Amino acid sequence: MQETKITSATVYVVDDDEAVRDSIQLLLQSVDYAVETFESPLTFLKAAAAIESGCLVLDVRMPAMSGLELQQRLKQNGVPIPVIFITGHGDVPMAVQAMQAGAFDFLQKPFRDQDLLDRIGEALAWDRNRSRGGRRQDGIRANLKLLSPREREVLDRVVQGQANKVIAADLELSQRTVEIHRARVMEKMQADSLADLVRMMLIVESDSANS
Amino acid sequence: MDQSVAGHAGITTPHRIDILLAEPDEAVRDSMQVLFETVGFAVESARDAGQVEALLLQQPPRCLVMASEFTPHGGIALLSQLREHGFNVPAIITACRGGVPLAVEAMRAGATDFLEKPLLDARLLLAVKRVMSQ
Repeated sequence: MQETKITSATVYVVDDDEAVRDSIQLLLQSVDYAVETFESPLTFLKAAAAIESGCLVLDVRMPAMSGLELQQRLKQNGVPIPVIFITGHGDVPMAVQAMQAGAFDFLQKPFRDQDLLDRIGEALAWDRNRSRGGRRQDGIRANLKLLSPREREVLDRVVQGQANKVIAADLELSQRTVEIHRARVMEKMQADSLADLVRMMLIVESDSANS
Repeated sequence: MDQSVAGHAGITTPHRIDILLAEPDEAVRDSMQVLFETVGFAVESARDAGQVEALLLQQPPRCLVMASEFTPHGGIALLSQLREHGFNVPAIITACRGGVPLAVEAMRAGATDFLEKPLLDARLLLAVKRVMSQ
């Protein structure tokens, strides 16, 4: 059993391949990152509730639970940690799917050590910005207050992945009206993409879950 | 003159655009246009970055289909710029090569989807319909 003391910025590595875990751990320790490795996605999922900051290096293919599934579960549990996928058998559709689900990055093996370190550095910087004094949270909350009740209803459904058609039926609106609400939501929230919007909602939701 | 004919000329009345194409390869562009029009989408093509932005402002399409090879700076750089300018139009980036790294770059730049060429008609239509319904 691993005892997990979750402190500040830690890089979590979840991979069923011991050799990969070890080599990434060595690499990260060589540049003084705090590292925690997990063989099983399920063990990590249990520990994840206590994670406050850091980033996750995640293998796509694992028995029991795939990396993409783990990413989904973390999202559902409101753990807003940036995820960098690594895979030996990645293809374009898989990479696109992971990115659409809000992954921070997706790296194919073999990658250069420096590439992984660069991505981890970026992910940690992103994560620091997220948690720094809750400034980003405050910004997102302030933007949320600008939304009309209708726009908020549309937003909640959009981030759950509902299609406009479904939202329109659900709220008894025309699809065109939903599109307009949706465009206003993106504008008021200053979101670049759906993935960006999903990340923002993760950030504020995980915060209200903790407080 | 018959008024409907004048209307079809589309000079005075701005027409609806479903799909804005930003594709430098003429053969690919033509075949995409035929495909989309066959299933009833109204298609417009842009020749350069300025025209993409102008059309997005004037007649916002429901979807932008842009090649990564579009414009000398590339379609992905243009997409980043459009996102910075606040254009949230769903965008599909297509590419002849580049594989996973380019796909990831496109998604990080704000693409809604990414497709590798050669494009299968069914795959392209499915992607377009999917991003339009989002």
